[in-house]
Amino acid sequence: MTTISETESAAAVTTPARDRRGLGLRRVRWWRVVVLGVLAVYFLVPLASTFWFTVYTPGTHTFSLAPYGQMFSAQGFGTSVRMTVEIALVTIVILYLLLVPAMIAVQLRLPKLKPVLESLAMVPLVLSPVALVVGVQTVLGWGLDQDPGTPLFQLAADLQNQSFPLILPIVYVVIALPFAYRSLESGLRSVDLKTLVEASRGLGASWPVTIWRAVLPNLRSGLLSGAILTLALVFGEYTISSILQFLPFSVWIVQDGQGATSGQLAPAVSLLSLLLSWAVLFLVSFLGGRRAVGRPDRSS
Amino acid sequence: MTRLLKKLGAWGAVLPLLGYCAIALGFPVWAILWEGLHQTNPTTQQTTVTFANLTASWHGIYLTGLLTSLRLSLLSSVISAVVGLFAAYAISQSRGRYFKQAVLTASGVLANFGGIPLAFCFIATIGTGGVFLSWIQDVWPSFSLETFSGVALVYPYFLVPLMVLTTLPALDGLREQWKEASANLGGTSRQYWRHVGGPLLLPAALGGFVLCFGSAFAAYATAKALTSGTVPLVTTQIANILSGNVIAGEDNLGMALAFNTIIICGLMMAVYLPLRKRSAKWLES
Amino acid sequence: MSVIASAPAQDAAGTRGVSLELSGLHRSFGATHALAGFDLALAPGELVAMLGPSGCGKTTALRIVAGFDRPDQGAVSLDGVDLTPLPANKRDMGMVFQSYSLFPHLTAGQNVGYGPRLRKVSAAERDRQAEELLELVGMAGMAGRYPHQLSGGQQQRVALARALAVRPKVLLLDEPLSALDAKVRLQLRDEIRRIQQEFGITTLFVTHDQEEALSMADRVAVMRAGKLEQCAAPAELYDRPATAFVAQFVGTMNHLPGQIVGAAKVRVADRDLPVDGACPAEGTEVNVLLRPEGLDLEPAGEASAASGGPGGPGEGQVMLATFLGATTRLTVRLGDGTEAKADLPSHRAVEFPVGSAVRLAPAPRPVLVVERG
Repeated sequence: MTTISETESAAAVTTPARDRRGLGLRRVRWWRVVVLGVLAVYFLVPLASTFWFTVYTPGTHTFSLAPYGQMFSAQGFGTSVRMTVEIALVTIVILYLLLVPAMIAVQLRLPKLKPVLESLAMVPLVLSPVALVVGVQTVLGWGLDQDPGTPLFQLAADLQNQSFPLILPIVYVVIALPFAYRSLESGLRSVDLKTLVEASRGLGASWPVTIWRAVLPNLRSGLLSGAILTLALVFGEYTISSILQFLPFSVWIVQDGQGATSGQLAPAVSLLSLLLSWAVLFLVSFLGGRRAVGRPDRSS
Repeated sequence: MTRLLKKLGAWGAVLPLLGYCAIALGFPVWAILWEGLHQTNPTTQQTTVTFANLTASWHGIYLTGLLTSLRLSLLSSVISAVVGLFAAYAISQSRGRYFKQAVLTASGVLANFGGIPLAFCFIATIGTGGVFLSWIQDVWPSFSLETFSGVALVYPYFLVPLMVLTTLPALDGLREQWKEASANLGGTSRQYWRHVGGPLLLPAALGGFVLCFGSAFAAYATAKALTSGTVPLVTTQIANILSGNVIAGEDNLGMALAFNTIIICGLMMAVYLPLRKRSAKWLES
Repeated sequence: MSVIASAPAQDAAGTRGVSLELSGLHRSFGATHALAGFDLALAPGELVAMLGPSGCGKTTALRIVAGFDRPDQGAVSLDGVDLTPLPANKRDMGMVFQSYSLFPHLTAGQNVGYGPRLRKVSAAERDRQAEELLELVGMAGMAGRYPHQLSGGQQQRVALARALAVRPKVLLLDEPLSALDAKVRLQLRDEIRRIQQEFGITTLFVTHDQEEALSMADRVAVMRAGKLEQCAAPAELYDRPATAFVAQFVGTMNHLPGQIVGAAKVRVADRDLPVDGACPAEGTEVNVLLRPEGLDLEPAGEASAASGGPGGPGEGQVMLATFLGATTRLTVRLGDGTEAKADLPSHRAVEFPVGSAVRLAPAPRPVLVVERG
């Protein structure tokens, strides 16, 4: 007879999905299926029909995966992709340089600041990017209003360099903050930061070494998923870049891609980017750690 | 003494982030506030403090825009909040580890998936020439994606995942013992939700709703791509002004509109934060 | 106290409470058999502790009684009435969980008043009852505190008051003290026992702590692998364990090699002792079970001293002496490698310092044996 631990059996008994006889919860099961089923339809149908739309041309009744291939050869594709990737990388680097030390510091030494960080991380969600870009444009305008040759003018001009507008990553850091924060936060929560740091420092490591060798490897999955979400965000970001009149990926799609192949290119790209980011994130969450997203066992 | 040094060191790690946000967020916001309250007379080039921009932003088509935005946000966020809450509950109750993880990552991606790509997907589905448009029009003849209802149908696509992401931690925090204790003391399932589960979840649910509302209000690209201006929304109006589609001399009006959105954002945060704090105290210790 | 006065009337014997019977309970989770035919009967007003190692099924049994789980086979009955078709919220039982069961958004008083509130008791009456019960559990005046403002021990007291507020027929305690620190645990142990006796409620108590079970319960049910090994009063469990498992599980037990000689006699450590209970055939190699307090020591025989070391059966060397106050526990290593623990009064233990050669002298009382191998 297998001997299971008492806590395991207690946990097994308290899971409602496994046994519903106790509290008469059987009716909950079908209700759950209905809700999730309807949602699945709502979320999957647009994706499926988009795919259909991109491969089937009603006029000629042909099936073709052409749009997916065409995107690579379309004019301006390469430049806009490269620019977007560069922007995304810079955003990620700045974001993590700012966020990682701050979050570690708050977790270890300044717990009272946690609510401040959290609220800060929520603000970009409700702050309209349109409003933000208005402000940004105004500030840049102030810089350009100065006499040419002054450092402020130069700065404003540099930030808006067409081939690599530094202003974009600077703003994107703010926009991506909520998502990166959340990814890192869940990573930090599952790691006993205090013990890790104390052990490392106790063995004589300096702060940078501790962070680099002891902390970061444990946050790998959180860091990766945050980076991917940021990448996806930068690729999908349209509002700010279009209003400021730069040409990263999504702006390029809307402008140039649409005319090319009867409007099939843009949806094809959108679909691809969505599925790709989901697939990668899903993989990352499993590579990163065995800690499942299950409910913590509180029964014992 | 070392404790003080340690605290100082910790502050040193946090200050860059705070400073950066102060500049990258604060500076633009300050710019909007400043410009919104000032007006430059084109002839004399003199700048004066004035409320004229603000008052103009509360009349005419701008008032319509504001009200439509509020209506749209309210409708889509109410729907998304309710649906999202039930979905989050269904997810928190499920056991499959892969299932739960897949849904969570999907929510993370979908909450981010607004704007142009989303609009394109829906246009392909039920826009003109869309695959399912005829089906929809069978039950709803006057339906068009480019109307208020069309946009309201699309917003939940990123609002529901947002709601799920926000409320799932709270739902996970509902301990099984509470349900059992309530039953043990004689309570039915309904009584449990009315006296225990409901009150405990309320702050998180309200907070999620507020977040959805704010997000919906702030959205721009999706609406623009879907409607190209046929539905008057604050965000599209601001964008129009910025791209120069307006009467000269009204540029600071755009500032005033942006100013309004910032005020609304501030209100949202003021409501959201205490709710979040309360919920965390009960459910995330 | 009015809470007691309005409780069910007492029966002729002067005790209140109901009898509880668990018969033939089976419960499996996939391939694991948590309960494999478990029977237990509680007399009215009795406190029975279910004791056993992890995985023995004690919590499963308790949850089945509470109604949070259904058995695959078997039944639970209260005063002869089968409870199996009743859902958990209709069973009229009070349960105290291991931890975290208080509703965090309600004060202590509101928590206690939860059950009465569901039964439509007026607010004034609820508050009064809550105040009384909280005083009973030693939390007088704390009705306005929230759970997060209370310590673990205080929370459990409130949980107890809450369970009692519905005047349950049976009280169920699921390791209520396990999450508390030692001192608080001891305090609460006595209080729970006192309250339980005062109310005369039939109580079922799950624990993995032997000392707790032995000190609190009227009877202790020792469980293993989903079955009942023995259910008896603590003293009987200790002195007359029914099975080898119980003998080993409760208290410390020595296993000394021996052989059956003659009917109901065993030779161990060069002595013949009567065998208690069932006795295997003559010649069988057995282990003899002896409590440390039933084992005395003598100086080793002259012959062994001469030959330079312990040699004879039952002879060995003292390896360790643990001072326990009035008694000292001496650990002796015998010639064949077996270790035996003997508890001697401390003033006598000094005669056998570590390293000295000794001979075991079991008390001439009947012993339990168990076949070897």
